[in-house]
Amino acid sequence: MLLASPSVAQEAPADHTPAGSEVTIPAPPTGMGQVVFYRTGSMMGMAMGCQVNEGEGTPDEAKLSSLGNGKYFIYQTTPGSHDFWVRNERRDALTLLVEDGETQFVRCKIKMGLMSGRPDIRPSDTVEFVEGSGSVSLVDDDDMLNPGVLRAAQLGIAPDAD
Amino acid sequence: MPAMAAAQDAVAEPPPAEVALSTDAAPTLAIPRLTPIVIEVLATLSSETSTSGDRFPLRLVEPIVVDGVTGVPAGTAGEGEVIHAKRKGGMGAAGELIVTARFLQVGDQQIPLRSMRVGGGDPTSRIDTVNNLAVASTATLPLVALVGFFIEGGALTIAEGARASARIAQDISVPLPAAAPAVESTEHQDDPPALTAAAEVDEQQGSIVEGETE
Repeated sequence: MLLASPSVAQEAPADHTPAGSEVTIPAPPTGMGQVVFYRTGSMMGMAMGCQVNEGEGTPDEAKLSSLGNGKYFIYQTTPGSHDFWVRNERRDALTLLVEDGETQFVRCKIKMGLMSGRPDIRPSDTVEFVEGSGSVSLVDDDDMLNPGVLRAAQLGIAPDAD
Repeated sequence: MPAMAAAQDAVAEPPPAEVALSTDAAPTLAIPRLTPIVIEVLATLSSETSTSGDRFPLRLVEPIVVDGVTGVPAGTAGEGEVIHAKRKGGMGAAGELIVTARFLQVGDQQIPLRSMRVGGGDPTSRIDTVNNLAVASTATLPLVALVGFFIEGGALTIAEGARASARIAQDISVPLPAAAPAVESTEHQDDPPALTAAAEVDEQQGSIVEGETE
């Protein structure tokens, strides 16, 4: 007689990993939404970080994390309008409407500037994310600058895994 | 049990919980949160001319039918909002445009909407719900599904008349029209008609929809 083990009998946690993605993305907690920020590997601005911030001159202004070359992070937050921005030589901003239970994707690219590269963030999607998922790894815990950004342990990833 | 019979039975004994008819209250229809709908954008939106906060008109394309009962008729007007717009830049930088559906107006009542997706897509998906219009003119993935959506020289346009999917944002009850006709619904065909629906919306099913990359 075969008995289902508890792990089999339990319902698997909801997962928002797109089909074909090499990066696992959990579902956001109840009542929350999430944004996956990522930056695929590129020679352009390789040494530069793409520091993502939220709010500016507002009470909720905060640094989220810094995307190195070929990195990603997952930011879980409350539903509603959120203003994200990056800046180096120039500022670039993106407003998203975070909706509970949903996952959105944002890509950072370092573009050519006059003196140095300039970061650019823009909406992305699952197709684009899956294409680049093989070349990205989680931002180091040291660069997680906001409690809403999921740490390696929360994602079941070894901190030093790349 | 037909709705009217249920109302008559209520005199002798409490009616079933799902029946919302009574002698002193107008009949209502409960529409579950996350019910998918199809809407039509009634204004042209563009990354070049729209600005964040712009409101735009929309209308319901297909009636909202729950268990064979029409709660909100096709043509019901509503409103959407431009969340983010950014003009195309130099060196091939594509424009960006993110829009959302805000509400349908039913009499004095606003039915809140969410999860708008331009050009169809899977309304049951909880992934990738941002209207990803930040695509380059070199997009190679199919655009045939994106009716009324154009990319020209990196500028993004949602033409007037473009179809989109969206969802009801919260559980809501709407008053039924005086003589709401029961229509044949493609869903719940085996269910008896009832004025309060218990339609299940699959929240667990995430899937991928078409998108574009540069």
